[in-house]
Amino acid sequence: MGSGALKTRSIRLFLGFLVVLLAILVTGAADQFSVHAQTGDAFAETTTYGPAPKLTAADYPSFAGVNARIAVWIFAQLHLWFAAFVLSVPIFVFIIEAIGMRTRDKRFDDMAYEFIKISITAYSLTAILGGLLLFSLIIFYPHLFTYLSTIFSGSMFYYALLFFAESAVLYLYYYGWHWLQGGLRKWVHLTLGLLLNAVGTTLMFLANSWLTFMMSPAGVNAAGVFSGDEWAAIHNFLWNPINIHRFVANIAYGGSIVGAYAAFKFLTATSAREKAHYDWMGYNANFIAICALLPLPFAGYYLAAEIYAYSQQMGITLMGGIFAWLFIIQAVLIGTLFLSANYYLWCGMGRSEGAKRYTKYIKYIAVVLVAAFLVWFTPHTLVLTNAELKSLGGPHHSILGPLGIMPAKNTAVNVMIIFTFLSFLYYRRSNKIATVSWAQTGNILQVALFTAGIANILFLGIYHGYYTNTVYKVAASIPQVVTTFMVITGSLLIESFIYRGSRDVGPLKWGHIPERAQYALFLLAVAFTWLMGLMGYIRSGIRQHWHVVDIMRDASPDAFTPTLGYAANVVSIAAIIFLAMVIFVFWIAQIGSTRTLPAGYWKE
Amino acid sequence: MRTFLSVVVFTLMTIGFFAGYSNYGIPQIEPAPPPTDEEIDLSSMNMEQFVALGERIFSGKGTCTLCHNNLGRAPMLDAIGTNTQARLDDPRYAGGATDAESYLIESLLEPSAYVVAGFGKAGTSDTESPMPSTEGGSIALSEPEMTAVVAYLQDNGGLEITVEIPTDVGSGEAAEATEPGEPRPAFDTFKDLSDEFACEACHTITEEAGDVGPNLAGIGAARDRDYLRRALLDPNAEIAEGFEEGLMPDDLGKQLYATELEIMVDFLSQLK
Amino acid sequence: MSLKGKLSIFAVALAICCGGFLLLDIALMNMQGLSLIFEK
Repeated sequence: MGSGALKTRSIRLFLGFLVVLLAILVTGAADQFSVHAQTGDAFAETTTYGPAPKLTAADYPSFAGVNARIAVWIFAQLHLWFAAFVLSVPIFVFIIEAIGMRTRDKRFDDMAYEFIKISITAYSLTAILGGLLLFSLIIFYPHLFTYLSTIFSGSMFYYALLFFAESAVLYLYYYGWHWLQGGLRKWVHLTLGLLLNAVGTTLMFLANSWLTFMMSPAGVNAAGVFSGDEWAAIHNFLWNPINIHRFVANIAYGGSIVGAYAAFKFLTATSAREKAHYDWMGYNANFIAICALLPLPFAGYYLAAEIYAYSQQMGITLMGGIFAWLFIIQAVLIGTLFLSANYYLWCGMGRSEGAKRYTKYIKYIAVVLVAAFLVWFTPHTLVLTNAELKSLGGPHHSILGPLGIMPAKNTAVNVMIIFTFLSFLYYRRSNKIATVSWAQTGNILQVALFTAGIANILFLGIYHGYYTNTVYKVAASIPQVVTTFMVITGSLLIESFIYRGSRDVGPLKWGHIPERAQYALFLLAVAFTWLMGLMGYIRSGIRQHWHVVDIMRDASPDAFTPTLGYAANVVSIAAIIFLAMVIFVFWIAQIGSTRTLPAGYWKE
Repeated sequence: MRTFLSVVVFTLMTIGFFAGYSNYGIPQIEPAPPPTDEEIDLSSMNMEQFVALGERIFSGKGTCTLCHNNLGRAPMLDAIGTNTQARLDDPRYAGGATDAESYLIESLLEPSAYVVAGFGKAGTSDTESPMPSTEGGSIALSEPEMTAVVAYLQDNGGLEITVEIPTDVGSGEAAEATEPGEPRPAFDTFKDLSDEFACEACHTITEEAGDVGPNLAGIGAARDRDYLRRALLDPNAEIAEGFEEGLMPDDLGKQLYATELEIMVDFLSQLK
Repeated sequence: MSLKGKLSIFAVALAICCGGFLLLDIALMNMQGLSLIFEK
């Protein structure tokens, strides 16, 4: 045991060293881009950069009646949906595999493998769609692409090369899953999973820099002349906010897509064992989605705040100008997501006998969630006729008006998050019986923590919403967020102590969940997809008639900013295409393990 | 298969709900189209028209009303008259202006020279303004445009208008399309004519624009073609009620080609 | 535990939590250069 443990430890150290080395390599590669700036003089002698081109409508090729803008829009969105999926799956597969290694419970390993298996076709589809996007950019927006690829020559080249690493690691990881089992091999396999995540995340970060450059350009002067410092262009103002938001959102999204897969397999399961397996899978997928969904509004808020900080005009157009109504649609979608995820949790409580103790609280959570959703959904500015304006005394209602601005919205979302977390606590508790002597006191503490937290959030929202100015209103969102975070971490801590050495009520009855709950999982996946499409439109549309904001105007015939209905229609069509492709992906995974035995076909 | 179909139907219904809500449950605001440059002849303007032009820039290209409104994001500008001296005397004032006119111009070029208390960027103690310089980037006001805006602000804020209408507009404006001596090419759409002769500086025609002259949105129903033709050629012959004489240029007849005159009359007469 | 006992524990815990959150609010608003209560 001694030498074995030493061997394992030194192997782990070695692997840890490899990981660190890789991390250095990846960040070192980033240094490469700033080498251009350091040796700028030598470089500048050989390469002179011109200003951003001033284009006219004639500079945009067209053919075969293809609407260039819609083509690029749909290809880009499809690529993003698939990319989000294939980036997120390795994240939770890695975590699940690690949990399996820790608990030595093979079910986790099998589930992790199943997640990778159903997504494998999606990787090539992501690449295909990326290729389509690239070609359509080159064909329809050649000048823009030339301009961007001149600036980002380094990162685009490395991006292409990194796909070798991505493919190599992915294939080893997937095809070697059953080969690399046990002891050291399992550690190697886990490291491959980590590498897969590192490469995938790097790919995303690189691509993110190109699109955030278009929104918040850096490394170029006001005329668009490149300084030669590619790292400055990559490291532009909105790069990290987008990186964070997309990283977290991808996890939530991937969880929801996999959850939809599990839901479908549950509904079509033929045995109780199969039903139990896919119920468990669906629960885990929903759990992953909720875990990432809870911090997601803050990542989005941070992104919007950074947009405001970069350009107040862009920020105000986004949230107070022509895009403002879009965020009401977003509110409807997010409300759907939260209600859906909660509903699934509530239905899932039926898996345990002990849930009866808590089911009576569900209706109160539902009421709060709906109320919060209604607040979130309330617009600030109303579209009124003159007569209505007169009777209302202005464009805003004196009491309901403030529900349309950020303090109320932040209050609502923080409350939704806390109550979703509460649903999750009830779910967890439903199969447990606390054995510690102070359990009742512990519960009282929990109630106090939640009450104080919610009261604080309400105080911050109501006081600052009705009685302060804009600067205070925005600033108040920070203590609200931190309060939510403290409530969640604090109560998890208390829970872990209350349920130390707890007894289970009984084995969880996996499979014992109504069929309608599976539709909650479908709703989660579809709503998430549509929401991502909408957000993708906003991010791109906020540039309005600029290719690169303030630097390169979009002079194409389709440079107009469309109405919301138009945008929603394009997003809907793209979503339908995507979901059809996803069905294809899952179907392929299915037939991959189907065997037909054709009697009498083959020679004896 | 049945499950598959019901899932497909459920998905399509959900997407249909979101799309339907976005099309019918939300007001369909038509965003402004990408801006196009228009040429304005300043030499034929009087101060009132120039102020009107400034107001148009204030509400349009300058995007000033995005923040300078009653929602509290930026100071209201209608009290500029009373505020300016106090701001210049404020010890926090960091700029170089000496009077209202130079202060206003400086505010357009260097908004952080003086930040009104409470409106600074969060965490900068009112030393940094969130307002961008109107000279660069996506606003990119030219010097004549800024002068027009200042004229409007002075007029609106109860100050005496001290700026002059620029005569030398420099490069970028009024590019000559033809050699001198040759007749200029005729315009063939109302839009081009309206841009060239700056009708919307004073009139509302198809969209909210100027209000120095009568609103022409329904003029085709109110007046016949003869009236319209005469209004263009000899505007002071009959002044609409509530408006002043001598404001509209009376030499359009010498500047328009006959074909262009008819295009304008045709267009106006179908505005009902 | 009696109702009075539960309520007193709750009251104490609530007071501590509320106090904690209030301090948190003040700290976070101060970090942004603002006070908790709005002053014109």
